[in-house]
Amino acid sequence: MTPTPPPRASVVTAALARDRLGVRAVVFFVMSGIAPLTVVAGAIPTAYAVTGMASIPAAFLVVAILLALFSVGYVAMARNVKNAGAFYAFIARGLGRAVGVGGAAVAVVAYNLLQVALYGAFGPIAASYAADKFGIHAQWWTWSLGAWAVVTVLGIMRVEVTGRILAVLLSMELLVTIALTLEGLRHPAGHHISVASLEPTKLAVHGVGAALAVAILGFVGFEGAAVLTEEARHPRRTVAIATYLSLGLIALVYAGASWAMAVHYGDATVVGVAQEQGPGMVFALGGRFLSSAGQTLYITSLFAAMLAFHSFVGRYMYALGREGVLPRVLSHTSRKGSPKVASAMQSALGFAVIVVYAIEGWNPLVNLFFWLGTTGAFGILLLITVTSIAVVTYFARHNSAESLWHRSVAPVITFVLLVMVTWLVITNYATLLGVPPGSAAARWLPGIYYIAAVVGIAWGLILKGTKPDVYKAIGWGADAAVVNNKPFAHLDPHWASPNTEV
Amino acid sequence: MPRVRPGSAQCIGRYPAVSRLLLADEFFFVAHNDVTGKPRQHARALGLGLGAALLGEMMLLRRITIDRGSVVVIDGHPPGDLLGHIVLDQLLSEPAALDVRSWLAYLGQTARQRVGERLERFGRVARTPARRLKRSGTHWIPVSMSDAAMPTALLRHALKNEHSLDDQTAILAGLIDAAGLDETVLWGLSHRTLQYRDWNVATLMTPLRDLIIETGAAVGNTVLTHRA
Repeated sequence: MTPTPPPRASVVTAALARDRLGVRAVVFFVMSGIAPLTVVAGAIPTAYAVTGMASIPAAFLVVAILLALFSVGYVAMARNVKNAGAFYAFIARGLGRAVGVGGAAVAVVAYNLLQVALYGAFGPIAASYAADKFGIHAQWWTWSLGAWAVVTVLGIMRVEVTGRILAVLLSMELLVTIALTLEGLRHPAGHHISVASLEPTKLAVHGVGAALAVAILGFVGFEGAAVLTEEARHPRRTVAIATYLSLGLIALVYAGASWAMAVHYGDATVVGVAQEQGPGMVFALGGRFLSSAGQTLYITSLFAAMLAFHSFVGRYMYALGREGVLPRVLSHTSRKGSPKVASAMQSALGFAVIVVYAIEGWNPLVNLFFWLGTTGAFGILLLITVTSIAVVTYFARHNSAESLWHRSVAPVITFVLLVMVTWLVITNYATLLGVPPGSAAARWLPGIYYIAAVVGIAWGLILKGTKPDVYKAIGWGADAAVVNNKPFAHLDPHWASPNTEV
Repeated sequence: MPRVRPGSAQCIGRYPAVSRLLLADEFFFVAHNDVTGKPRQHARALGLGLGAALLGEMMLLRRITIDRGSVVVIDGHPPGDLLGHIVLDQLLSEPAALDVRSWLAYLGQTARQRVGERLERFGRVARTPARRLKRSGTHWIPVSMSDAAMPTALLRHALKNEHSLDDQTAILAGLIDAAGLDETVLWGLSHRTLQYRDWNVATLMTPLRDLIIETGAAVGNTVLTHRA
C-alpha cells in the first residue's frame, strides 16, 4: 500500500494566522477598556463612603469567581456562534430574537450610563488638580465639558488612541496601583494587618447587594474579549485564556487595593475616611511622588475609560443600525472606519446629562458618577444573568463539541447565583445609592431597565410582524445582509428593459 | 435582464467604446483620489474591496464561482492578465476550498500593492514613495487625472440616467457600497438613484451578489472588531 502524500499546507491559512491576535493583545484590549485606576481611585472610595460597608474587597473576590464561572459558558458559545460580539446577540440566539432586542435596549442604556457617569468623576478631580497644581479655579462641569469636547472630537475622527499609548498608560496605572497598595499594606492601622475585609462571610450583612454592585462596576468590560473571537489566533483557546487572565488580574488589583485601604485606615474607620477624603484617600497611601503620579494617571485613566465606553456604545448602535433594528443612518462610518452618526448621538446624550447636572446642582461624584455608574453596572448584571440562561438554551438546541460542563453545568450554576445576586442588588438599592429606603431614586434607577426591556421586546415583536427580513437578522451585526437575503422590491418597470440610448 | 458583455463595443451611456479597464483597476481608481492618489478609505476596507474586485474579475471570466460561501474554481485555464493568472494559481494551489471571507482577507493583504503595480505596468499610474512616515508605504499617482476619474464619472452618469448596467459596472457599484465608499464617490445622488444601484446589485447572479454581500459584511466587521 503506497503511503498517501502529506496534505498540502494552506498558504492562505498561514498568512491569515500571522495577522491574528494572541492572548497578550486581547488582554491588553480588555484591560485598556477597564482602566483600573478609574475604579481604584473613583469607585472604591465612593463605595466605602456611600454604602458604609467595609467588605468591599471580599465583594471583588466573590464577583471575580462568579464572572469566571459565567465566562465558561460565554466563551464556549462565542466559539460556536459566528460574529456574536455582544450580549444581545447571544440572547437573541438562545432566547429568541425579540428577547434579544430587549437585551439590546438594556445594553444601550447600561453602556451609555457607564459612559456619562465618568464625566462625574472627571470633573471634580480635574478641578481639584488644576486648583492645586496650577491655581486655576473652575467648576467641575467646566472640566467635564472640556473632556466631553475631546471625546466628541476623537470619536468623530479616529477613536482609538494608538494601542501603544494605551498599553503604556495601562502599564503605568497598574504599577502605580500596585505601589500604592503595597504602601498601604506597609503602614497598617494599629500595626496589625487585618484580613477581615477580605472574608466573604463578612458580606452576609444587610447591604451586601450594594457591595456586589460596586464590584461588578469594576469588572465591566471583561466581556470585550469575546468581540475578538474571529480575530483570535487560536479560536478555542485565545479568548478563553485572555478572559480568565483579565478577570484574575482585575480581581487581584481591585481586591488588593481596596484591602490596602481598609488595612491602612482601619476596618472600623475606613468608611469615615472615605466620606471625608474621597479619591484622595487612595493617593494619600503613598508619598508625594506616588501621590502625584497617581493623580495624573487617574485623570488619564478616566479619559481612556470615557473613550473606551464611548467607542463601545458607538459600535453597539452601529451593529443595530446595520441590522435595521435601529435607523440605518447609525451604520454610517467615517473614512477612518468609526461609526460617526452613532458617535455623535452618544456625545449629544453626554452633553445633555452634564448640563442637567450642572443646572440642578447635583453632586457629580455621588449623583452622576456613582449613581449612574452603579446603575449601569446593574444593567450589565442583568445582561449577564440573561445571557447565562441563553447559553444553556442555545446549546440545548444546537449540536457542538463542547463538554457538558461548558454548555450546561457551569451556565446553570451561574444563572442561579446571578439571579440571587440580582435580587440582592435590587433589594439593597437604597443602600447602594446611600438614600433612605423606599426613595424614588432607588425605585426608578433600576426601574429604567424594566422599561427598556419591555420597549425592546415590544419593538422586536413589531419587527417580526412588519419587517421580517430585519427580524431575521437580529443579533448578526455587520453580517445582517448575509442572513436576511432580502428580495429587492422592483420599483420601476422600466428598469428591466435595456436602455435604447446606446 | 439582458446584460452587456464587458469589453464589447456596446458601452454604457453615450460614450464611445473605450478599451475597458479590468474591474480591480476601476475599483482602484474609484477608491483613490484622482489627483493625489490618496486612498479614500482606511486600509483594511480598501484591501477587502480590491480583493473582492480581483475575485470578481475571475468570476466575470467564469474561472471561479461562489458556492455555499466557499470559493470554487470551475475552470483552471489561466486568464490573459498576469495578476489574474497569479490569483487563479493561488486559488488552485489551496488544498481545500476556503470561504469567501478568508480569500477576501488574504487577497486584501496585498491587493493594493498588486493592483497598483498592474496599473503601473500599463502606464496608468506612477509610483512615488510616500513623503511622510505613513503605514501605507507607496503612493500611486494617476498619470492622467481624467482617465482616473472616468470609472466614477461613467458610473454616476449611468446611475443618474438609469442606463442598463453591465455586470462589471453593477459589481463595481456594489463594491463601492460594500467598502463604505458611497459617501465619497456617490455623493449627491438621489435616493431613487441609489435604489436603482441597489436593484442592479440585487439582480446580479447569485454568486456575484454573494461576493458583494460578503465584502460588505467583512468591512462592517472591521468596525466592530476595532481593526479598521
